Amino acid sequence: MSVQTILWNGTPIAFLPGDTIASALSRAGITEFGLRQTALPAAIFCGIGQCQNCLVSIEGIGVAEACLTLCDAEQSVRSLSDHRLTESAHD
Amino acid sequence: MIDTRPLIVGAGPAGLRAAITLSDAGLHPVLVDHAPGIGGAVYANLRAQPNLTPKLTREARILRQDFDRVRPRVDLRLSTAFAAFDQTGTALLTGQAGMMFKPRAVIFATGARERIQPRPGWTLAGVSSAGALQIALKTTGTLPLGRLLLAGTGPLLYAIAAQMVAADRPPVAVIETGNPLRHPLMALRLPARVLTEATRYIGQLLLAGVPILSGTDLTRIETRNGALIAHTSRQGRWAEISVDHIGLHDGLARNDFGISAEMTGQTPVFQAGDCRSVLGRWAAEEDGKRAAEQVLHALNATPGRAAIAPDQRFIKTQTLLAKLFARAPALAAPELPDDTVICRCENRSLGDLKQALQTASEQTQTTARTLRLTERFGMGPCQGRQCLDWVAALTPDTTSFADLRGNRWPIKPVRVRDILDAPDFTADPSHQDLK
Ligand code: FES
Repeated sequence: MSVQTILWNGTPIAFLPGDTIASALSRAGITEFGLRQTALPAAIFCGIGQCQNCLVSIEGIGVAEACLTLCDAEQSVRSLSDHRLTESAHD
Repeated sequence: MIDTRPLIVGAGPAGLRAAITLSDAGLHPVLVDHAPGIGGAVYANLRAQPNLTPKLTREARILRQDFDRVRPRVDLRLSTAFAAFDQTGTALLTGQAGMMFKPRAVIFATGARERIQPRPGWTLAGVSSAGALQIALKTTGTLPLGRLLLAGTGPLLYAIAAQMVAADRPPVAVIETGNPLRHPLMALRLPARVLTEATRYIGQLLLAGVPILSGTDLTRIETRNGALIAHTSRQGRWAEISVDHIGLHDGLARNDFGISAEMTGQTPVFQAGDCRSVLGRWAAEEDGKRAAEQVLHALNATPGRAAIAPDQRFIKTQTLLAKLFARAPALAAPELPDDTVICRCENRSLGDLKQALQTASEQTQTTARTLRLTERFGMGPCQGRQCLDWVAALTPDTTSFADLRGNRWPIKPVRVRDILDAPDFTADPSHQDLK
């Protein structure tokens, strides 16, 4: 079976069955998921959907907690700061 | 047409046991959890691939067997959050299996939240709750790469440390503000199953050579050459520990934000498990059963039980544990610099809080309302779950935790699209319970 991947800001990241986006990213050594609106890092903090510190933008879902969302093959996941940069380029 | 389905929010031990009890009585409960699997935090390995994580404990196995038995009667909605009620008794569920419906009764079994003391550097990536590391271990059998450190206080730290040892990833150390091992005689008064578990964890840590630095504070964290540097303090002696991940934990509190019964109109509402009183998984399961019996009573389906207080044994255990883990007397009160972030969501610091109190006292009175509306404490997406304990502790003369927290829907942020997408079953419930 070939390794399944998600696309993190365009880069393929391998995941295992049962991986959330957060667990796949941390296994790949990625602890910072971009920046929050406050410019503090977006990252896993509570791990159970309470703190909203791990929000990312997920293809087909929208903004959601990386720690609660299971990986789906070929799914594109972006950091919110990445998103904001592209979307607010006009101002 | 009246919807006869009760709603249970949270599929941890309390919620699962409530669902089992209601199903056995012939009802068809709707069970929602925002996680992608059942088990809650404590039994998160119920949702793991069986080959990945350590064997299930006996009680987790029994819980799953019982739930499997009633599974056809439960409308289980995972990756779905309970968001809010309106005054007509309509519940809004959002996410993968979102909907609007009018439950006949509601049981909130939303569990606990970890209390984490603010410290300089606690907002850095790689610093998380200790529980977050445990969830990774329980659901995937793996931990983030690199050196791990656990710090704070409370029994959960040792459980997690021992599980890390078992996964061949022992933490560099456990930093503990209390002196729990100094009171063996007090510890002997713990119930046998608690004591057995604790002894096993401590044994595993000692055997693996994991240092337990008790009576020690993790005072601040910084980054240096890509690593996290933890600064510790013990009776005036300072040390630095270089690691890659830090798990913090300073105890547990009820995760009961926004779920007061006054806000649900006519619908009977109950709380079960840690969100009612933080007494651990054994008590939570019993409490889930108790809440289900109260629902049955309220719906006149069976002669149920009146509201009862949690079992005294569980309360005694928690009181004793709190004493065992009391902060070491020799340890100075933590002195936080003014730029310490208190509210992570809105990036509000201790200095901001102090200044707000000062300017307000010169002009008008400071209230919970001004601290929220003007100063933004507790107003971010976590809704104060992380900061309000500390804001309340830092402003004892000004406001209380209950005032700061208030009671508001939704209980977590909701995407507008989810509201628009949620099918509406309030007029015509699709599932009829054939009681
Ligand atoms: S880490 Fe807290 S919501 Fe995901």
